[in-house]
Amino acid sequence: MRYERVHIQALSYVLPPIEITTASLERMLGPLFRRIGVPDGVLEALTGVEARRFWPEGRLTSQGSAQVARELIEQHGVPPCGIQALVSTSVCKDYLEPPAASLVAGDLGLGADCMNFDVGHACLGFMTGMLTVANLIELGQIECGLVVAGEGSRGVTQATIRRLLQPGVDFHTFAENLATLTLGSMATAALLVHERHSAHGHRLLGGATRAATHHSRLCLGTHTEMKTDATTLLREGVALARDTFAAAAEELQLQVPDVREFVLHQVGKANHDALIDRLGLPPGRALRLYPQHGNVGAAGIPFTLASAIERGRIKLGDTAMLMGIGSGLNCTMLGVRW
Amino acid sequence: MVSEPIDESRKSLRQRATRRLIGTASSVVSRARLRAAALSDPRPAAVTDVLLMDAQQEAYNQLHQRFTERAGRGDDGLASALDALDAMWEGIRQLRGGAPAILLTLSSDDEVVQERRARFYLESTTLLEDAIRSVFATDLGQLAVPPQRMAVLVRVALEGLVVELAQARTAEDVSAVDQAYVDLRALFERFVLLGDAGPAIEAISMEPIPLPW
Repeated sequence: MRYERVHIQALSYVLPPIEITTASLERMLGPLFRRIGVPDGVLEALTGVEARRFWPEGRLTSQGSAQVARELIEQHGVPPCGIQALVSTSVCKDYLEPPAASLVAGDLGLGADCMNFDVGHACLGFMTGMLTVANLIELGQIECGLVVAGEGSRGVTQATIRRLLQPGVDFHTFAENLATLTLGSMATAALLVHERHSAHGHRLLGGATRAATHHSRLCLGTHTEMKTDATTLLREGVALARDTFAAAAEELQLQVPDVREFVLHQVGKANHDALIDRLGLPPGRALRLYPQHGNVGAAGIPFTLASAIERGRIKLGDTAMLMGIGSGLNCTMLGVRW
Repeated sequence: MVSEPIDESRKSLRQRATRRLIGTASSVVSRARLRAAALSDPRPAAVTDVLLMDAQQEAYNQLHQRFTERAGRGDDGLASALDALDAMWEGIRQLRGGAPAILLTLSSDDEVVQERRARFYLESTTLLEDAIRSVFATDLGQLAVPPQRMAVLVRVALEGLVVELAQARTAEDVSAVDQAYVDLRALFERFVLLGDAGPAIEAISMEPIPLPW
């Protein structure tokens, strides 16, 4: 797929105010570690995650989405057409209904002409949300759309720690729940517009998407726990990423040297290294944010893109490749000409 | 070999007989020791020392029987092990009156007693090991320490409680020993089947691991 008229007008993110270090989680799990013989520092050593952030107690993820959207609008403004679509892409859901997009749109006071809905696509959600809005713009149905994601890991982390501190928990159970302890919190937003409203000319070029749904049960998450076959998930995810990367490179007529920055979904050290290795990417051209933020779900890709831009890794005219993988398994890679 | 289950009345009869045997042996060994001390001749104590050790051996036999009976019924695992441990503790608590005498017996330098003591340790540990293997047959790989060492551990712990009981003078002293058993039991319950956690201390590689996307 290729886009000719879709531009990224603005990107924004909000960091939750509470930093929780991995060392502090290990202190909470001290009784378990001593009982099952796990040494201090194991969580960080195995995952590469040093810290993550929590929203204050009781704060809904949709409120995070609304906050980041509000800040984006205040900072960058919106075209005269107004926001005509709002897509919420969070993995975390405050309620089964209404859609989080309705809560955010309501909080922002968006009008009757703004369609709003949720896109559920696991950690790939934000990129799928961008595709959805881009398609609406490309088709001429709207000229401006907002994509948001608000993730919160406080509840699931606390529930996991409570569960792990129960008597009888063994090493196997700890290992099974370890991934949950790497989850972070974040809110991100992107405003996509028709080129006629573009202030800076940051183009969304298009890309490719691939699915491997025969692996759809490798990661099963609920509000209180997440069970995964992480080894198979990594292996099959990387294989899917290779196929997607080849398809996206062909579609966009791009080679690795043409890409200034590879914007990877932030998970952990093993996943990051495996992707770089198997896709043959230059290690210095993929920002690592998981050490300080963990896996922030759907918010990972836009956060990493925004951070790379802030840090001057992506400059005006540079090409960046957004590379997302979500449990399901699904993979999308999108090119951006900044 | 799996022993035939014994009914409650036979079991109770056997327990009463053991108690009587221990009580008699304790009183005899104490009298004999007093007399031997007075005559500066420890020999008269030997027969009663052996009798007393036989009584203690019987407690281990009962423990073994209880383990293997339950395992034979397919009723194995931690609950059965704890039940057998409780039965063993009950037996030891009933020994309380004879505990000082047992202490003297265990430290005796009489050759006959020493030989019997060595055999007692060997046989009781073998019985315990066999019982542990029976009751944890399907979880042997999960034991925190191998059955042979687990048997030594249980025997040492129980003998240690006998020593403590021997020194108990007041109700508070006895209560403290009871509490020690409760704590020991809780530790046993918590750790005995976490064997996969033990080796994991060395098995954990600090290399990064895969995480879900």
